[in-house]
Amino acid sequence: MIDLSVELCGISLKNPITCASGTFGSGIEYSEFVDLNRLGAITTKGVSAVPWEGNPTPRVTETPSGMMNAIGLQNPGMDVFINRDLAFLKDYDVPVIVNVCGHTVEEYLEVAERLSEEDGVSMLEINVSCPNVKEGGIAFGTKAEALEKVTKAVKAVSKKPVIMKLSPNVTSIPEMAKAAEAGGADAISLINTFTAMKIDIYRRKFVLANRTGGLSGPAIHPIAVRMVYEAAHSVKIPVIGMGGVASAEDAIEMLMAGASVVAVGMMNFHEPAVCVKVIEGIAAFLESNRISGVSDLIGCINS
Amino acid sequence: MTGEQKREVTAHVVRQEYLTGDILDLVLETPLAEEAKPGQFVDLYCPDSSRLLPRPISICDVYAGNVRLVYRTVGSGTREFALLKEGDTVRMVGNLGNGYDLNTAKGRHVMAVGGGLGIPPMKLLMKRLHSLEGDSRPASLTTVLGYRDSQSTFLDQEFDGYGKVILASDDGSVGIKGTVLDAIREAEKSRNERPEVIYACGPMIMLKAIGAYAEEKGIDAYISLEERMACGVGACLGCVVKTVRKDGHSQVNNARICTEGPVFAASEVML
Ligand SMILES: Cc1cc2nc3c(=O)[nH]c(=O)nc-3n(C[C@H](O)[C@H](O)[C@H](O)COP(=O)(O)OP(=O)(O)OC[C@H]3O[C@@H](n4cnc5c(N)ncnc54)[C@H](O)[C@@H]3O)c2cc1C
Ligand SMILES: Cc1cc2nc3c(=O)[nH]c(=O)nc-3n(C[C@H](O)[C@H](O)[C@H](O)COP(=O)(O)O)c2cc1C
Ligand code: FES
Repeated sequence: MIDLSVELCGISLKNPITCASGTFGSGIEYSEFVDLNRLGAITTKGVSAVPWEGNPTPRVTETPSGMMNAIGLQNPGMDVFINRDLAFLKDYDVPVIVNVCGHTVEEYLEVAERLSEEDGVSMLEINVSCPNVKEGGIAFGTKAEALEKVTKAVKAVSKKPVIMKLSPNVTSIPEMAKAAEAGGADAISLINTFTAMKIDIYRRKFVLANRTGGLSGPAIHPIAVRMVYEAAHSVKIPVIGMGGVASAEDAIEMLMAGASVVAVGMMNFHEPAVCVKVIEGIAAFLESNRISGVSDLIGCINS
Repeated sequence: MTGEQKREVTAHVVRQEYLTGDILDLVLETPLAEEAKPGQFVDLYCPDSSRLLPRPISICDVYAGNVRLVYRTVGSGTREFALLKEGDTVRMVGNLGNGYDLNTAKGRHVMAVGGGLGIPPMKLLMKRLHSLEGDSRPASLTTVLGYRDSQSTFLDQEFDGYGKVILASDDGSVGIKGTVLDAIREAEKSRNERPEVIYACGPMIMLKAIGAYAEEKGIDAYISLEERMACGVGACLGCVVKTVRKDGHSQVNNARICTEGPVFAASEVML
């Protein structure tokens, strides 16, 4: 009786849970731990036009209840992605959201156009918020005007729905959310990681080779909830909420804050089957509270 | 394939004891023991849930459904593991990484080199190499173990059954004075012994020296690398090493230590 399904940009998802970009590869690695068909959608690692090397190591470090990463968007480029990763995902009955990255507007457009023509791609998520690459889109992602412009440009070439992924490293989330909506985005997702820094005091060196890295995990969850709430209450397009989701309770909080879909990120590293645990926990919550469907939870805060 | 699938398990602590002041010997009961290969590792989760990333620890030995791990307490996570006692459980993922390819030892004079916390994985490697039969057998087995001093030795008694054992220590208080490489050169000079294949694990400076020695002598060397890891399963791209050739995964010159490694041919990586 419990209805976990939700709709996102006209596409029906079995449940509101997806993995956050970059924390799940293209699903291949985690398919040993999780039946990928259980997920509402698979969101892939960022894909660029040509292979990207990424940053020097160390690229990751643990922080209290979280981690920092500065991977730098290493990826094989769209040709290998299409021939290997997308081909692998075709055997699964699960919508695929491809995360797109680029150095320039032209590169975003090239990748977005090509990938949106692939049958196996359900939606595009445009990463204009990576803090770890100099031109990794953050320039577009932190200025409202630039964000609106790049959104319009991507929308013009994409044959699939476009999700703009927002950075938390901005002064006003509502302003950025509105800019994406004004540019014609079909949905927005947030939050990407917070720019952060860690210093090894004994060696007097930065812990990450990139000096700064993106902070994610449960440590950022309450800030993410606030930002998702602000975004959801400033636009009409749907919101994908993420940031430190570790449990069904955390995901339900995101839904109540106004997210239609929730992504689970670095907690996959802590518990390889965490997505399934979250999905089952949401079902149990609905059942024990006699709520008929997930849609009844979205934005349902009593005032 | 199914037998080698990576999975998350809850392992039972069979026993744990100190080998030196800060090195522990932890025996865990887990079905992962059946499939473990020398050179592979497991990812242990900390009981304290504010420490979210798993700690990679090499498989030191396996027997009768048990996995044995030997590790040093260096930080908060390993200090938590040090408190584990018989009857406790610990969550972990395994078996991870490629492990050493035993075929490369076939009919050859083999030398296993372990420095410090690189010694534990050499145990299972030598045990397995020693048990090979017929055509797959190595021609000979030699173990070289490097320590700081006589206070810090551990596992040094455990290689005796597998062939010759050479010890080295920085201050000469145990074995020859110097590094493992000094010991290797010394064996070559005084007894004309030169390996045809080297398997090594230890600090980066040692691995670089082994790589250079192997190149100089035209010997195959396989080295096990370490890097900061997050997922441990190949998904996050946190743990890469620069490679000579383009890697199969990302088509750049970066292989994932947790997945394509941790064991690499020394000639294939740029340290
Ligand atoms: C493939 C592999 C095999 C290993 N095998 C062994 C072994 O058999 N015995 C042993 O004693 N040690 C081994 N190590 C090192 C071991 O993983 C670290 O000592 C351990 O993670 C330290 O955790 P901590 O919480 O005590 O230290 P902290 O410094 O508090 O850890 C903070 C973070 O840094 C990471 N980290 C710290 N040191 C290292 C390191 N040297 N390598 C990778 N990550 C590190 C931790 O995992 C954690 O995420 C291995 C490492 C790798 C990559
Ligand atoms: C290792 C790692 C890699 C990431 N790679 C990407 C990426 O390629 N593209 C992207 O848009 N976001 C990327 N992110 C950000 C996540 O998708 C997510 O927005 C963020 O981590 C917050 O969620 P979490 O707290 O649940 O991890 C990455 C995060 C991590 C930890
Ligand atoms: S630790 Fe994630 S890819 Fe190796």
